[in-house]
Amino acid sequence: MPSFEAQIEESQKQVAETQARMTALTARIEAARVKAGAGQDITLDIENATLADVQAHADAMNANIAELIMGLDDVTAGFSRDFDQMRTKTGWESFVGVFARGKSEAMRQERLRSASIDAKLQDLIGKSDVIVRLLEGQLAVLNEQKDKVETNLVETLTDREATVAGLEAVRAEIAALDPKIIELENKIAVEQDASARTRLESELADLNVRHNALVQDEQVRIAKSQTLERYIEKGKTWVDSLQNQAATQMVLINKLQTDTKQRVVLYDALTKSLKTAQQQDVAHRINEIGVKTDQEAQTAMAGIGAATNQRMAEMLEAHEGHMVFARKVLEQKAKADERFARRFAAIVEKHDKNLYGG
Amino acid sequence: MAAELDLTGDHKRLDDDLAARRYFAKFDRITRMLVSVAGAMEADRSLSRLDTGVLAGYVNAISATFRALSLKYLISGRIEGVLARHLTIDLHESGFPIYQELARMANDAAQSALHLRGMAEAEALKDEMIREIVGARAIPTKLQYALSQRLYYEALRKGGLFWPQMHPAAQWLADLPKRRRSYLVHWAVYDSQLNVPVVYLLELEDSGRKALPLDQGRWPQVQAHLLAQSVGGLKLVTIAAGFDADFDDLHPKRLRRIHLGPMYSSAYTLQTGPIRA
Repeated sequence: MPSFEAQIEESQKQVAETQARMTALTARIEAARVKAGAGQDITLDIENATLADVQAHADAMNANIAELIMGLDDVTAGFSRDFDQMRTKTGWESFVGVFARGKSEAMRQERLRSASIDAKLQDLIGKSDVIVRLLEGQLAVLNEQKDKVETNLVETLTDREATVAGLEAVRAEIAALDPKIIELENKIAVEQDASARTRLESELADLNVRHNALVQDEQVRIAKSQTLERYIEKGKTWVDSLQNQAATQMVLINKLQTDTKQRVVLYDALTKSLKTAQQQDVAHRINEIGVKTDQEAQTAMAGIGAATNQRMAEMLEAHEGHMVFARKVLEQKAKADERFARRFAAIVEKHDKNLYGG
Repeated sequence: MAAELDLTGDHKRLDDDLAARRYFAKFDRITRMLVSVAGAMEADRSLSRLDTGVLAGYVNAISATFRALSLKYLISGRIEGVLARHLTIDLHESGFPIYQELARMANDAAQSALHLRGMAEAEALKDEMIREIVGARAIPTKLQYALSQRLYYEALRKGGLFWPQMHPAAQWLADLPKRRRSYLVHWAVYDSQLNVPVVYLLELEDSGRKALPLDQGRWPQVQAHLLAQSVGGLKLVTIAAGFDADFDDLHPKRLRRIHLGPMYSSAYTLQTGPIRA
């Protein structure tokens, strides 16, 4: 497992690259619009492969950030070690205990008195903030890109409407020409006078030229309409993809914020309940709370779940009178967890297997 | 018992911009009152002049912290989307912002130099704002946000704020017979469970050879010990007895714990039972 800093750096790099790719793609889509407006072929400019490529890259980046968030669990694993140390005796304390039981207990109590996890809490909040900023930056870029492409699409849609209207007009004109041509042809067929006939024939030739020009115009307009349609399709796919990514970012931010909030309260409460045990003057009590604390902290981390909070709360309630528990935010947390699990099932599974297999 | 429980149930986000502003205004009034409350307690002889001076220092730090937080959250609620930020307070028996807010502020402070380097000057921002108001006839929310953040980081750089921990400081009181000296050691923490700032005043006698605040062998250890024991759930006698046991030549004589709160307000907080002093 690489260090948190290294992972952050890696993620920052990936975010920067994804953003560059997205901006490039949006720029390309914009450039293609000019071409599409002129009726030129744009298939080479935005092919599916590019979209898929950017998408794949964004997915990789999100996976990395999700892993980073899961990695916060490992930061919090440090808390678990602290709890363990608070409740058990060190080697030296046990050794002293062989000769003087009271002295050994006093030493451990002294250690408990000077224990503090404030720095770790600060660290957890800081790290979580760093990730949130990273995600927010990405989200801002996503929204900006989405807005750009959307305005673009709106313009293109208007363009296409105009093109289609033009096409209709040309078709109507062609349709209006047809009976005139037939009429002329019929007239020519029955005309006996040579000069009148020549006049009619040149009239017909004029009409035919006009007809051909209109048909050609129709072809051009059809091509343009099709190109615009293709462009709109691609644009829509891109907007969808951006929207989807933005949703992912929001899920990640939400999950991280709720988790951190809960964790800070949880670890803080656990440490403090361990510390208050010193005034109960019953050594085994410390151990009892310690064991529970440790188990619960482990389960909480492995499960990234909310269910265990209840047991902790029960335990804490026995100890601390001033914590109020309500359902609302927990439901939010459950939802955040669920959304996270849905989107990152693979990573959650991998993480659970690798790190908490025991 | 309910199937699901929550650890942050007593946290409340001030989603409403105006509510948040009123909250800060109210807070400002209350902290200003606190100084005169300390003055009245001094007149009652329940606090000495020295104590009042020490407390005034912490109260000023608290009001500086709230001014900084009010700048941080002044505009942030108006930013659209998930970037919107709201102050979270503990509405139950506290009325103060939650501990995490202060911890986050401490993290922000550590990076304030970096932020300030990358930000436009306040004057430049105001200038741009005027241009946007006159030119585009729009409310320059983004610029307002940038300015509020700029002022927030400036306040952090200026210092004098109340942090999650205020490290112990010692004040010499008197020289006593048998080469003893007496000190007033005072420190404060932002209690992470009650979400209330708590000041500790410890009068102790020092029989060590070197003056306590100058003794590099003992003083850092004393500071760490006292901060680690500043837990709301501990009785004062537990803290004092533990301190006495752990430091041979320091003799605690009087330990007081002063909660600078909670703040009760029918608009923002919930409380049950009698109002605690």
